[in-house]
Amino acid sequence: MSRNIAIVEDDADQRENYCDALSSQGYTVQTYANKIEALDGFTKSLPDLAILDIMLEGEMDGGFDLCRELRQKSPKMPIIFLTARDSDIDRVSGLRLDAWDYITKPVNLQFLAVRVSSLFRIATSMHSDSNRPSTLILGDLEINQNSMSISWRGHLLSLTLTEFWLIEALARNPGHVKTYAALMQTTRQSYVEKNTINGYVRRIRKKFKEVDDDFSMIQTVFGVGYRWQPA
Amino acid sequence: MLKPLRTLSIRSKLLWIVSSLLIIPWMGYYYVLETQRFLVQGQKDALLLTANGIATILNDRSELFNPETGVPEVLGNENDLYAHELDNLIQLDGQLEDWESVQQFANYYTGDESFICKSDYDPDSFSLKSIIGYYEQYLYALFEIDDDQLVYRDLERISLNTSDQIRMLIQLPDGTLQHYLLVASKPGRMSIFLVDEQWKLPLQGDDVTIFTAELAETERGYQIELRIPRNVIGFRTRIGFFAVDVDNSHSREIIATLSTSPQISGEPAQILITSPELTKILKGLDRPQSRIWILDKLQRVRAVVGGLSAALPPEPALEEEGNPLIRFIQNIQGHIDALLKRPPEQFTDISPQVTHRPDKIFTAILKGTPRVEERLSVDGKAQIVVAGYPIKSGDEILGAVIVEQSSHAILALQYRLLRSMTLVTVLVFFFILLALLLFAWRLTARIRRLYNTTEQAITTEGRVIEDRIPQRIYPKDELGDLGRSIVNMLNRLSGYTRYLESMPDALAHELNNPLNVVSSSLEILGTDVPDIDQNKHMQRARNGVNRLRIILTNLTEAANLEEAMRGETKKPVNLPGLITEFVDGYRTSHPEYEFLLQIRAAPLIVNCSPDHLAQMLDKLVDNAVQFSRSSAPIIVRITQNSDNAEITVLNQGPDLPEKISGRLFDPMVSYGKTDAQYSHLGLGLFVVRLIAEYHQGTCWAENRSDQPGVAVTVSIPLSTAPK
Repeated sequence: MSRNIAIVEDDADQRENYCDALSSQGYTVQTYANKIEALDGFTKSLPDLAILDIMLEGEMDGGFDLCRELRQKSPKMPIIFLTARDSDIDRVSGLRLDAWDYITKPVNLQFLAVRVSSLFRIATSMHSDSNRPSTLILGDLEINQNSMSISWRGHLLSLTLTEFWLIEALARNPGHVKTYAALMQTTRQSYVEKNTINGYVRRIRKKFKEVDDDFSMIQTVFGVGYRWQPA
Repeated sequence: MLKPLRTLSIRSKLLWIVSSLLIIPWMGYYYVLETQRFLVQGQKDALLLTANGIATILNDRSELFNPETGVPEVLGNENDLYAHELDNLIQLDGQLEDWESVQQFANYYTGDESFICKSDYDPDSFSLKSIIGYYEQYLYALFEIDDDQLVYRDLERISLNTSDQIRMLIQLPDGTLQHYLLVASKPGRMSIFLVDEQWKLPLQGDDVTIFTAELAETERGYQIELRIPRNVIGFRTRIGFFAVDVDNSHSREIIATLSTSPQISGEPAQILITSPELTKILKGLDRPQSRIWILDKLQRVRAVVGGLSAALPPEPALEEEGNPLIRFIQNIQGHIDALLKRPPEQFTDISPQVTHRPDKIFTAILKGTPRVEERLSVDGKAQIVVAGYPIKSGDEILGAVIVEQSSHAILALQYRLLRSMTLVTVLVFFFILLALLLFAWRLTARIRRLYNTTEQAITTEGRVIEDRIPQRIYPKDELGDLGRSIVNMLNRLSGYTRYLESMPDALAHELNNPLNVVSSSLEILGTDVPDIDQNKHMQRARNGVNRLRIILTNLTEAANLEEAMRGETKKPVNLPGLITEFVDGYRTSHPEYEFLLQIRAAPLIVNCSPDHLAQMLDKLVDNAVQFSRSSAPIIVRITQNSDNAEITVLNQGPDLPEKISGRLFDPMVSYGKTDAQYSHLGLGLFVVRLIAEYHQGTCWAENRSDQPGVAVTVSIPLSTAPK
């Protein structure tokens, strides 16, 4: 049975392109142009995954409102914000609403498909706990490949997909410098600047520090990239 | 001509305007002078009217001017002895009943007033009471003398000055003196001798018979009645009496002399015969401030009353010596007194004793014309107003009334007026000056403050610093309006700057969506249409989309940066160490360039966010690389400049164009060569500025002095002084 994806995007061209790309991957896609349509559609049937723009036909925070509604109906539904809004505040607000990912435009459609499939995998693994534990343990770090979750010293971190990928990429090769170029690939976004990577790393460090004040495993190699401190 | 005025500050201009207040004292002075003229004119009119009035009273009193009467009616001199009209004939008999009518006019002379005496003299032992009267052709004088020891004349002795006696000095109009001595060897008729100047020896052997005197002893001493024919005491004849006391009948030494004149050595006095009616009239006119002369037609003085007092009415004194304000006022008064001419307290004028006034004015008046004029006092110290009016009897002119008054009172009044006016003016002047100065000071201070805030709110590059725009400007006056209008202007300018700075971000957002459409469409096209990936136009379209993405990312970078930095915490970092790491990175990422790191000071600890410093240095290096000749090294230099760490990135290449040098760090300002394949949004150095400012630092760019090329410097304050 094919999975249902809801896309809420006010720009018709983009909406249809997303729809085409995801449909070609075998998903069933429902598109909505604004909040009212979307809410209406969600009442009829809940999608398995939702891709939301934040600004919807003049409603500055229409996407956030939708996210809140969906969370009430289904606490475990994967929700992706796909938006042109690139500020930290928006990112934080989005993730605080329990969105699973936050992608900025322009987006590479292939990467979007990858993300969607990854999120479905995570969702599946969460539903069926019996899955084989595909866990990578690196010192205090514990990476669950299936649920795409990471724990530090036993504390589960709340991470977005991109953040998970970045930590995984760094931690897999401790001591090796991951260049900006490599990390850009890792984020699976169409175009990423150095600063965007710095921003991700900054947020990742913050999340680690929330559970461990002395966290200092991610080192900056200025001008080049980052590396995971060898044990 | 107006040019120097334009360069004056408002303060100086106000001072100039204040100085125009000095006209006020000048006006006041002019006004006081006018008032004085008016007052003097009023005084003249009043005096002429007085003269007219007196003349009217004296009209038809020809007896006043009749020389036949022989005795002039002259009043007003203190020395004068007044002869009062008696009701009856006086019998020279030692009985005092016939003096009853004139007892009230008695004069008393004691040792306190006019005497010559030895040191052991007892004033109670000798005193004199005298009365002078007239009846028909005779003058009568009564002397009552208190004397404890009555010593009679010793007939054996030749010298006459050896007993109690009365001396009578007569000065004839021609000035010659006659000395008469009244002595007695027993009570009853006295002997009267014409004696020498020493009152010692008789000049004639016989008694003088024109005078008659009678001595009688009393309980307290003795009394003498004297009779003098009126024709002896003629016009301007003067007379003086002296009582001489001898107490010791053996030594017969004179121990005291009492005089009827205040000055015993002075001239004898006139005997003035009072005419009750005329005395009443003239006495009524007697005032210390004005003097009335009555002249006959030969300009001879017939009567003088009153005086020319120079005394000023007392001034109210300021109290409370200790009060500093009063002391200040007194101080000012002192200066004013030095400036103004104070009218003299005393002046001397024609003595009332003169017998003749030949002044021209009288000549004119005696011709029948009333006149008023001013003259100076004899010593020239005071102005005297003289008004004259003829006295007539029918058509005949008998004489003239002259009323004199000094304008001293007016001058004194004027002086006092000037003084108080000057004082008030000075005080008012200072007060206004102070008030205006305060006002000017306040005004210029406000203007200066407005100027300063405006200057501070705009940087040299013309950027508005929002925090420094004043929130409120209080006073509701014109200056407040100006201030508010400037604040409005600044706010609008700041809003506009904000708009300009946020424009790239807004633009990026707007462009993002269509770009996303193009990009995703190309992607779908790539998968849907086989072999299209190889199509060169497809490739170029993808290239273009990628470039657009880079541009959009750059556009949003600055805006995102500001937000990102807001939540950032800084930490102390050793700058040279950090930069060394950065430069190592650049050597890897830009292998085609040579990087030279020059550390001139270490360690330099700055409070910073290393990520952002890296971003800043990226931009500096990008900028340097972009305009560098490929073979030339790029120098990164770290120096210390007092409390600042300075990072300079130098390249070799084209110089800065002058026209944009001031705006180089503004958004969307770019310089140098343009490469179609490379974006030149000019946001790199804007990002540098944002990061430098976030670190409380500054940045600037200048051409290198040693060779063509540009040096961009960022200066960041040190967190602590290096050890």
